[in-house]
Amino acid sequence: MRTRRFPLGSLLLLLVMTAVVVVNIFPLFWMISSAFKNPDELFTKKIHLIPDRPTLDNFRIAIFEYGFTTWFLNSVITTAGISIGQIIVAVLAAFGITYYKTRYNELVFYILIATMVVPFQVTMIPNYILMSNLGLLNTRTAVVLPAFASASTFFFMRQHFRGVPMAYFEAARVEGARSPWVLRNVVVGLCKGSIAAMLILCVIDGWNQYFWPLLVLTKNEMRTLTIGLQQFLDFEMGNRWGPFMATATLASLPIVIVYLFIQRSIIEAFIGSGVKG
Amino acid sequence: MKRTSLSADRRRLQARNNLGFLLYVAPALIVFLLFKYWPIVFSAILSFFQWNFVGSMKWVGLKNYASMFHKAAFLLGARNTLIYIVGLFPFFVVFPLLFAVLLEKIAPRGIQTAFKSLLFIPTILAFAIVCMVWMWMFNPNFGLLNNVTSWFGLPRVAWLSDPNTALFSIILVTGWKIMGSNMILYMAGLVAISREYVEAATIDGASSWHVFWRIKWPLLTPTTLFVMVTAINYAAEKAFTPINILTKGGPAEASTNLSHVIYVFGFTYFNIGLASATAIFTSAFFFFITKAMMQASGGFSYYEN
Repeated sequence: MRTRRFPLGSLLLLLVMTAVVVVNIFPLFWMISSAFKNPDELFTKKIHLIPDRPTLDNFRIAIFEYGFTTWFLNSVITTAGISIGQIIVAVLAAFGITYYKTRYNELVFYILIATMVVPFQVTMIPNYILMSNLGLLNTRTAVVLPAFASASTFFFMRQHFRGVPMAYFEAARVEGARSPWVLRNVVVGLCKGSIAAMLILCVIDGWNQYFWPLLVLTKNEMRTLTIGLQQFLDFEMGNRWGPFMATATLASLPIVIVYLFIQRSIIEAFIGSGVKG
Repeated sequence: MKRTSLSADRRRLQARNNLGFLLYVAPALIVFLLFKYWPIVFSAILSFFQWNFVGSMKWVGLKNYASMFHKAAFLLGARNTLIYIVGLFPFFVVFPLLFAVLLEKIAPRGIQTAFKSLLFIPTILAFAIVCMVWMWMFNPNFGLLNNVTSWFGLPRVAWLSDPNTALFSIILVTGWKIMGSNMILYMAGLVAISREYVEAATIDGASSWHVFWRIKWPLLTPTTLFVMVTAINYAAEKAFTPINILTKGGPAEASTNLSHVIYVFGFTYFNIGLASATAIFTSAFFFFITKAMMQASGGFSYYEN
């Protein structure tokens, strides 16, 4: 069938999709390209796709005149805290619900899952007040703690743990194995791949957090990258676009590089969880 | 005698079982109750009070809900949320589905896979950061968009400060961010559709147009439903990021949405009661519209098995 078709159709298809792809990743390309531009190539009505005289000045300004290293470090710490906390809470709960059979299983499952439909706005003010009362405003702890309650992470883990054959659990019980041993050696052993995939999604999510840190982090030395970057735009004259692009590039590169190496498992985990992003 | 000791044994086993279960789910229950359930209750309580974060709380009954409907910002936020749902529809459903179908037809597998992973990239980038990159592209004087349109002799547009284009700009950025990931979801949905259905229909003489609308589209309902729920979530909540960065809800609240209105009520005016009332309203809105969609789709969805 395919050979009978006039190849023009496939060629057209390829062209259309190439255009879509180019438009789609253009902002990323523009960000990287602008990071290497001198002011005269930035503030112009001509279009310079690639800088004629690339410069590292923007990176120097971003790193030495702004708090890039501080923001970067804060982002790394909060992201690690969010991801690890979320995964531990979810793995423990998902294991409890798959390994034990009690009459509360269903109840607990629905208590956790129902929070998927709770919008962020309805929790943000009470959580802000809670953090303020605990004296945690302007701390990384305040950014990390509420993120531990993630229904989608729990759901994903539970879906995967359900795939562990019951016979394994029964065999472990008969042999007198304790539950932490079963969790570590059977469940985590078998589901290493999906836990890792979810961890990556959590890292992307944590790295990209904006609304909540915006509320609880107001001091510069505590800001994460997404919040700190706004400083470049507070200058009304807007002549800080170069250093901004440099910082944005440095902030995005780790994620993009990780993605390019393991895109397959990231996409699979994304489809599997369906809820993140 | 033996019977009772057996049931006592069983009870002890049951108790140990319950205890083990509880130990594993306890951390989750604690954080979910603390950071999800208690906040809902507390928001509902706060919505009946007048409070500004400091000082004492004053009971005002339903006054916050009543005054909410007289605030221009709230009315515009609610209206815009509906506009965002409609405006995002092409980016959430139409384009992703179209490109998923087209991409499936690309023969060299390598190119198909490469395109797929490139189209997914906006999903993994920080929304806040790419919004700021877009802000530069929207710049009226030196922005890329105006530099391109002026090639064609079109006038320069103040994309973000013109009330006629501010909403559109937010929709464009939000749509761009989500398009690729929804396409991936549709591709996964298309792959899951059994070949036999399509082949059987083709043998019976159905055109590919018919195959799509009569077989593929109905079978994709779960994906469409999920994507539409996400669209509502983006319109009411996640669009906060582009709105707060690109327009601050302006000009004159022209591009605000419900989550940005709540943020302004709470963290600019420190009117916690009003902000909480709006948050409760938004949650109810979100809940009912999602539920209505689930029910409506129940009528026309086909599920295997």
